[in-house]
Amino acid sequence: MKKLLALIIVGMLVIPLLGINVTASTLPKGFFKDTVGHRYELEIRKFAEQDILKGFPDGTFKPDAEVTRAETATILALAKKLTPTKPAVSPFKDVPTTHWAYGNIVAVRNAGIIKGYPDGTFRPGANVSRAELAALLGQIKGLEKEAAKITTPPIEAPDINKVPKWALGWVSLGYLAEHNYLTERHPGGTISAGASAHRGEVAYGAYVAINPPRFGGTLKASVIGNPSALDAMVTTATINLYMGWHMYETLFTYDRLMAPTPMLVDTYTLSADGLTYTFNLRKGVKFHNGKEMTADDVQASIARWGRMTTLGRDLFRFVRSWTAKDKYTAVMVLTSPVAITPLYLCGAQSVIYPKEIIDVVGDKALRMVPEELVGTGPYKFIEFIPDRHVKMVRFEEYTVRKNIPNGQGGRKTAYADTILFMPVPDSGVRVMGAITGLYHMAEWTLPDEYERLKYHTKLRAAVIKPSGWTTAVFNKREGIFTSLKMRQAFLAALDMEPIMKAAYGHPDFWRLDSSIAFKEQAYYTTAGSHLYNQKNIEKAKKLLAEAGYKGEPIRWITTTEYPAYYTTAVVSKDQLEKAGFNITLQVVDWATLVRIRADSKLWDIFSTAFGITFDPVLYLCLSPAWFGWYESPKMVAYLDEMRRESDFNKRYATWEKAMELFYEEVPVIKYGDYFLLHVHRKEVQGYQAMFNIFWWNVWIEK
Amino acid sequence: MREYILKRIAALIPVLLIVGLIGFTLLSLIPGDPAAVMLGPEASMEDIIALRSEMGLDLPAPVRLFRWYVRLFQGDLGYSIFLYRPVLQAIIERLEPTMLLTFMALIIAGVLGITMGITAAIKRGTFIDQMVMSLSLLGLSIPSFWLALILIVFFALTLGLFPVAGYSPIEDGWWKTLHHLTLPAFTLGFIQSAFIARMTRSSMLEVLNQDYIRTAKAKGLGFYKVIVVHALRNAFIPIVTVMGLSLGGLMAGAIVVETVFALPGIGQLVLASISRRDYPMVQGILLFIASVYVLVNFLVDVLYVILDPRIKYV
Amino acid sequence: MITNNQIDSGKVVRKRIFSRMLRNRSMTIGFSLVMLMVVIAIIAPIVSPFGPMDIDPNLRLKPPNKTHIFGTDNIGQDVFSRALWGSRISLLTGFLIVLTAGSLGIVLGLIAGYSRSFDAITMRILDGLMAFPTTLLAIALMAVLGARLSNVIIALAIVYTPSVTRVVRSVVLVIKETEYIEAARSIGNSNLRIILKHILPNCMAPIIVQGSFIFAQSILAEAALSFLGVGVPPWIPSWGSIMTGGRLFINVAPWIIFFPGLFVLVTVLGLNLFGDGLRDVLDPRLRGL
Repeated sequence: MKKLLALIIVGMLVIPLLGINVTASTLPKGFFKDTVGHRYELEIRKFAEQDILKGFPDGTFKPDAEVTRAETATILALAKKLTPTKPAVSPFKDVPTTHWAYGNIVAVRNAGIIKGYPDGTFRPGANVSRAELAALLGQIKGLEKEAAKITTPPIEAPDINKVPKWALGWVSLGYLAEHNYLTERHPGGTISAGASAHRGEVAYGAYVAINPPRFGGTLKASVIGNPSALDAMVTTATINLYMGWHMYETLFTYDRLMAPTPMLVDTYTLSADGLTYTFNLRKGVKFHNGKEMTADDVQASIARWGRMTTLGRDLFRFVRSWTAKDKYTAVMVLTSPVAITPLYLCGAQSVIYPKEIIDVVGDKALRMVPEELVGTGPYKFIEFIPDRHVKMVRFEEYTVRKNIPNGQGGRKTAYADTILFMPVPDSGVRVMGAITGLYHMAEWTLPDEYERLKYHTKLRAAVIKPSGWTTAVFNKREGIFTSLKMRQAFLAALDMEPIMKAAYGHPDFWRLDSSIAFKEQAYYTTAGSHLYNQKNIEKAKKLLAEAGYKGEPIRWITTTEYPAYYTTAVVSKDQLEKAGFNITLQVVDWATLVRIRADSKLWDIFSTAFGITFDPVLYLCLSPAWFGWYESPKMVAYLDEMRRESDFNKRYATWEKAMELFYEEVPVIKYGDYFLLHVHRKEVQGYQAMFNIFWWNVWIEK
Repeated sequence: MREYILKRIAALIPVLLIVGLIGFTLLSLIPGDPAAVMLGPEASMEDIIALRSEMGLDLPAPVRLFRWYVRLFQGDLGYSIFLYRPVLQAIIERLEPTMLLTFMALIIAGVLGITMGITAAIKRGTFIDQMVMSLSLLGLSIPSFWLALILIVFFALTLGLFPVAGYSPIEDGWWKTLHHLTLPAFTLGFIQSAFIARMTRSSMLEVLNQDYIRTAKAKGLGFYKVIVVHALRNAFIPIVTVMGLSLGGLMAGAIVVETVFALPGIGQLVLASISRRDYPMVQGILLFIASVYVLVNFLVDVLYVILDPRIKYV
Repeated sequence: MITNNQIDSGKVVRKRIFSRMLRNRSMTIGFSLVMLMVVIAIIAPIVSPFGPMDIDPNLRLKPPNKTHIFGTDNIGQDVFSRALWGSRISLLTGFLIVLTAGSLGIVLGLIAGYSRSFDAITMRILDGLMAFPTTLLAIALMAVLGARLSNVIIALAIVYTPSVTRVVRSVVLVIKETEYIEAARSIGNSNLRIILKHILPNCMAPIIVQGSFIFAQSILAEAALSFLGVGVPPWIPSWGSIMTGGRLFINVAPWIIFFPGLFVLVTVLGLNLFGDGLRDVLDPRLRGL
């Protein structure tokens, strides 16, 4: 019996260890050192797997290097599977028969793709402009006739007038979803026709030209849980809003640089005194129930938003009147200038519902039935089966915008017939499911899995940068942290690096930074940074003594439901106790935490995290109304000033002062930035690793 | 007989009422706020307070208990604030995976347990007996979630034979459903088979020692006839009983196993509902599970009486 | 006439039981396994190479190696040291649960066996409690009480008390009617004396057997509760809480779950073997069950 037991135990010892993957020292086929995480990683990988692309001997691909005509010719020849032809005499003066790309250059010439210049040269070393590339790709697809037909630009882009006449047809074709490779290569929403194309862009364009976007299929997205409400106005939880923005649309939305761009609004004007906004709505926009969207719907929806949401109430403090002027015009008159009104209207909560539904439901939450969850988005709600899925299907009558996709704005194409959001609370299960094909993608993946996943031949791993910042919030209304010195001592003692490392693991997924506006945002500033990450135990001790602290227990409420919250608390506790703090951790579930934090008598600190905030005026942690109750006259004054001011430079100067104040008054602790790891299967094409995840403009390859 | 059954049924009612009371008492004591969970991390105080009163959570506990009982007698288990549907409907929607899992596990446990038990009984005192019995002891001693995770790492991750987790409803094909349920059902079944194996072994031993088996053997009847026809038939009653009782153990085990394998069943629903403080849902499930548990025990008792004429039912 | 002495003359029997214990193999193996874990628990502070709370984020998720023979967890704690310290928490928790559930069960069972009205009420409530699967009841109780070590003991004691009560009650009901209790009563012994001197000793055998199984069940239940996130809080090292922390990392660091799980397995196996053996020895009629 003992023998048997020993055998079983040894067997079980070995079994789990077999499961550990060892990271390969050489990269699998298709991967290059500098393409992992790149915007065009998948296209480069797939071409490289078919031996169409090869990197440099040092294991790189240099996707962001400017591309030469010789390189372009080679990529196109291989992609089109042309046979290299090497006639004894070169057809081009400047391409000797010994040129590395000779065979492919001749092959594309013979195929009529790149003809060369009238002076008999090919200029193999010259760069290819983006407009030229659009034309080349268009020719590969045989779109000459269609391109020639276009003489007036059918698309909206800030630099459309700078596009040379000969290229107008080509770039305009890119407006059509099926030819998006022609113009969509540039992420900024501009066309930049004259700029040189990059190696990665050629790979992307050629790949998508040959493997065009496919309509159809069911996109299965594993998500961290069930939605608690799908009425965007009743909830701030990301999971709900994320599903919501596939169904609903807002007047404005975020572009790739997190700035507002019109969505349901066509154009808008602001009066000279900064008080009257006139929104001209797009015409012919249909709701899922077939009704056309008008100013009445917009008026009713935004009014409801103004009553029901924190942001809405915040803006409506300054709204004198909000009316529908005519069928397609809505007018908002303010009592005091609010410079970021369009930004307020970008938020995922300020969605437009049909007025009839609001009239019936009022301010109660919409029920999760297709009759009530009605928007204008590219997908429409079908059903919610708890713990199984939220199902949405393509809205066939969706009215598209005419500008090229830019962030969450511009043209939206619903390629997948159906989207299933499938709740899978366990991170490990989400990943394993993506590997085995149960789901197409997994969000909120454990960063420690990155090394293993980034070279996974079936997946693409994307780092979503930035995602949020981790924080500990002080109770400034009651208890020990009403003392400024106590908060300063707390900040002084902390060494952020071990805390962030313990919480987020892999170094690519966290960053030490003092600013609560991310590096990627316009309001990023280093103001106050000298007080961030001080690791000064002595100073902390001194401040504690000055505060008269005698080891009274400090109640820190945290949760393991979000493991990083707990980890930051436990490592901080370790550091703070060295300075003399006496901390009692109370680990509760999230539901209890949110209950406790509402009562200022029950806690001293709680753990949480913030996502991206799009303007300084909107930071919850700076608001006197939010938990922790930061009632600082100076901060309120700074934020008021910024709310009225519309000049960026003046606003920025005020913000720098506010951030200095933030570090002097320490309303909350900023630990650092974290980034989320998102993986999806490689047959999922067109995904952009943006701060908000969305599944329009994304298709599933066969 | 009829009287006995009626008496037993009458005895069920107070138990179920107490079950409801216990469930309600527990829940009204749980700290935590469903309104705040629902509104998300960035919600404001005023919204939370408004939603609380809309959900009726600001009423005193006895009032809520009374209302709940009243509705219960009307056959209404309440309405889930989070799932936007009646509690009963939510439970019914989750029944499929849980029931399939439980039945598959029961079959696995039964086949494994009975085979192991008979083998051990026949080979009593030999090395095989010891092996079988220590294997069943292992089943009693292994943490279910731990076994589940090791099975996942080995069979799903390393060998790729089974899906790592998740569920495929029957409407998408039986085969896929079975494929998804194999590992969880095996985990549960293996653990439960331990009880059945031990029960089978001891009742088989008892029967094998009986005179008529000795006689049968002496008559020179074949091995098959002796074991299957005579011995097993007589050992059947206690085995059926233990299998019936196993259902309770399986339901308890299903809560943990469903969580590990992300199966959208009752177990996962109750855990999720507790963590988001969906009171009506938790109450409903507690009552539901306890009722099933009590009913199964009742049916096993009745079956026992019916199967075994020697037992008097007074 | 029967005297107290005669009733009590179990000494010979006891001696025989003891020698039978020694000869019972599963009991000796089980006992040694349990004792091994007890010894580990006692010497944990001396032999563990690191403190159970030592944190070093630079050493996070290291696979088993020479310094960390069971590897490290996600905040760089040594899994080996925590597992050793964990045996203290887990064994003590289990023991206290048995003690609490045992004493509560004995008291309730004795009273229920004696008082009809008390019996009717108590047994209905206990039936109600037993109508819930144990895991579910424990989860609900933990949600009420909050994830704390002491609460795990309270919750699981509540969960296991009904089974002890039932055993005690049934033994009392049987023994109460036997001749020698009648006899004891007839010679003028008080109820209390009868309970202490005669009934309780007779209950002990089934209670001890039941106790060893409850011990085993408690350790499994503690692990399961902690695994589901409602048990021992994560910084206190119990086998369950160590494994909870590892659940998220099962794909990258299976050792965090694997080794503490083995500790649980060995301990519970030991307790089950011990309980089996004990039952055989104390109650030969049940042998083989």
